[in-house]
Amino acid sequence: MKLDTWRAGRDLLADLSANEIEFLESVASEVTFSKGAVIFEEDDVADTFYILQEGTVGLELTTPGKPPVVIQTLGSGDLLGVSWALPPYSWTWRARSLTDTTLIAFDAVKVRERCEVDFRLAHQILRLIAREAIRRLTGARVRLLDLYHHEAR
Amino acid sequence: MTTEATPISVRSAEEMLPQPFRVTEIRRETPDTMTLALEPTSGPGIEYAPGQFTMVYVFGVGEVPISIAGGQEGKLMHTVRAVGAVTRAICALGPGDIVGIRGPYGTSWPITEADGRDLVIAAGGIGLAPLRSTVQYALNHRDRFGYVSLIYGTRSPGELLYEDELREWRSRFEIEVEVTVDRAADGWYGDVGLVTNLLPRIFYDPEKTTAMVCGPEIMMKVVARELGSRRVGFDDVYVSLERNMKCAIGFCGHCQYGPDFVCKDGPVVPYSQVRNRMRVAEV
Ligand SMILES: Cc1cc2nc3c(=O)[nH]c(=O)nc-3n(C[C@H](O)[C@H](O)[C@H](O)COP(=O)(O)OP(=O)(O)OC[C@H]3O[C@@H](n4cnc5c(N)ncnc54)[C@H](O)[C@@H]3O)c2cc1C
Ligand code: FES
Repeated sequence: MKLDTWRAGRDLLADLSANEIEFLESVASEVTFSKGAVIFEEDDVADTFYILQEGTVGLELTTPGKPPVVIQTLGSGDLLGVSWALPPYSWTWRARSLTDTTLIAFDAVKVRERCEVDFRLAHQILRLIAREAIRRLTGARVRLLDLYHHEAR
Repeated sequence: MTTEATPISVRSAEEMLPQPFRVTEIRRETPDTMTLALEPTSGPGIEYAPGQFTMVYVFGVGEVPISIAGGQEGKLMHTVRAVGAVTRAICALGPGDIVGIRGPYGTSWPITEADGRDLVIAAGGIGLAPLRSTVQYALNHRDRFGYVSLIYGTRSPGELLYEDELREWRSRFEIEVEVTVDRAADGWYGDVGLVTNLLPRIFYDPEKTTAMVCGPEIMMKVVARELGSRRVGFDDVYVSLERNMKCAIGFCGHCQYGPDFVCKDGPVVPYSQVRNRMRVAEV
């Protein structure tokens, strides 16, 4: 799986060194999901994480007897999966393919193991996750304000 | 030969005089938002640059600033959300009704200055109205720009403006059009999340990007910051400000925003110019 060409022009993996990219490539493979397929289920073990190449994935909250609510969608260039990095290593949301999707899947167990001995990699990965988490938190907070409803524009 | 300057009071009186425009069409966009097509009852009408606004006067009710969403050859298109007395009166107009229009006023989006650059057009809610004509300009002059993207966020799928046009713009495959909503309803297969979530999807070279952002102030701030963190310079990010207005020609001070009057120094300004003020309460 070649990550170097993929990351050109995208900032998700921009800070990683050539060695780190090489390691991630060694634990990565391309996977596809068809529209409607569940990529991971709430509370399942989080042993893989993904980068979306093509298509849209919905993070869903499921409640019995009701259709799932899409909390957020992710698209090309987005990181899918954060819970794999911290205990208890289980998913918070369900991820479902809203279109046919192509993703790069990373073996999260191997990445976690490597991070125990390679602190620079661990630092880079946690930075990447923190940056994404902050962006999503900001997005969620701003949406809570319900801006478009209260302001004329 | 000497020329005599027009006394300022005469000039301002002329600038303050509304022209009668007739409503030729009115279309519902969302439960509280209407789009009006207007034509001058006589005379040449109004030529404008994208991003400018007019003062719309409903006789016997009052006058409000409204961005120009489109229109050609002197005609105008306005999209209005009913929030109070005057905007409700505008939304209640019907074909044949007459309103007073003065303008156009204010600064415009730097669309002609952005020749050769990538364009990121980011709209939130009714903020798509003032950006609609920039999208059309970019489509009509497609070869002048690099990548062109429109990212648009609203509260829910029922609150999207210009749905037919969004579909048409997207189907032309000449610009990237990405839409997201804060809350999805059943049957919505599009994106859910803040408009900034769409930034990783679109292509632009931060070094040669001009971004034009319009929506609620907090949305503009968050988008500008996010563009900044993706290495787009704040001088290249433009936002459109909104303040209460009376004269719209820089006389009354109603629209003062720090050292600027939004009616003449704005509404469109580089984010770098207002970034510090946008952090201060009650400016
Ligand atoms: C440059 C500029 C361009 C604008 N373009 C558009 C446009 O294209 N379409 C459009 O619908 N509106 C636009 N506006 C906003 C519009 O001018 C106001 O909504 C209008 O002045 C409200 O007047 P009103 O008499 O209907 O409401 P008011 O009676 O003045 O107010 C009623 C209620 O609405 C709130 N309110 C008033 N103005 C706003 C506002 N701007 N945002 C949020 N809440 C408000 C008030 O606080 C009050 O609670 C623009 C404003 C500016 C400055
Ligand atoms: S509205 Fe009077 S100075 Fe701007």
